[in-house]
Amino acid sequence: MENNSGMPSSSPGPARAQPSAAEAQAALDALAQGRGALAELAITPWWYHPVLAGLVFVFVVGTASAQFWYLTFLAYMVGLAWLVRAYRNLTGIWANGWKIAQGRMLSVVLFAVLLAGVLTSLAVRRGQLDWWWAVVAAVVGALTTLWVGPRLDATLRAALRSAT
Amino acid sequence: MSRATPALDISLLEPKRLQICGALGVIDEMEFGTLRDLLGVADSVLSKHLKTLEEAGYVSSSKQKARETGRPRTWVKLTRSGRIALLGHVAQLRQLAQDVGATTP
Repeated sequence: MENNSGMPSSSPGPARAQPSAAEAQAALDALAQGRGALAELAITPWWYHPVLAGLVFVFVVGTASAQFWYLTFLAYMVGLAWLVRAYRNLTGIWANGWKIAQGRMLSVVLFAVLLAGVLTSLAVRRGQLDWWWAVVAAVVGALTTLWVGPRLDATLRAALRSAT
Repeated sequence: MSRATPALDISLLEPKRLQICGALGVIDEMEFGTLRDLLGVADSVLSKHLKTLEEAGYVSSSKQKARETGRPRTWVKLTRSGRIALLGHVAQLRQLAQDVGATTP
């Protein structure tokens, strides 16, 4: 196996070679540098979050319809799959933010708002609320998506830059 | 007080392999070409590093067909044991690196 490091390279197992303190620091520096470069790749296309917010709007408002809810749900799922695929193809990376503590918090906020929106629309479908409540819930869901999305991106980039 | 000798993982002593695991430690998956460009190495070099890491059980890869080209693209992710090895290795490197501060006047 090639070795361009000056350090030993062989099969995994317990270490048989011990780098010096300077070599250990150099390895940590290289690790941080690599993650910093990765942070520059984790740039979400400008249209990603608006499209996602649009899908959320369609999904939440569509849930209120007794006749067409399954069509809007299908459109949401297909759109989501396309969006994820497009992001992966464009950036070459995939990160959901769940591995980062602040990302988890933001994801929970988004999930809670979407759940509240869907429950509101279900109440509209059952006749418990007026139709415009579904529109309000969908707008709130879409705006929350627009608010959370860029913050999740920033959280990921910050985690990449700060991690060693 | 004597300090215990750190047990570094020999698979991760190679800087490029450490960088691979380090990058995959924060994100979920990375495409082969993106990883190659990030490291600035040739395809063959990255393939060898990934083979070593796969044999160690630290990364796993899967092929997914790109709709535009129809060609399969390889996606790489860190396994659970890879994450544990990375965290342990980095912790030991930090411990070793502290000696720089201790010995530098």
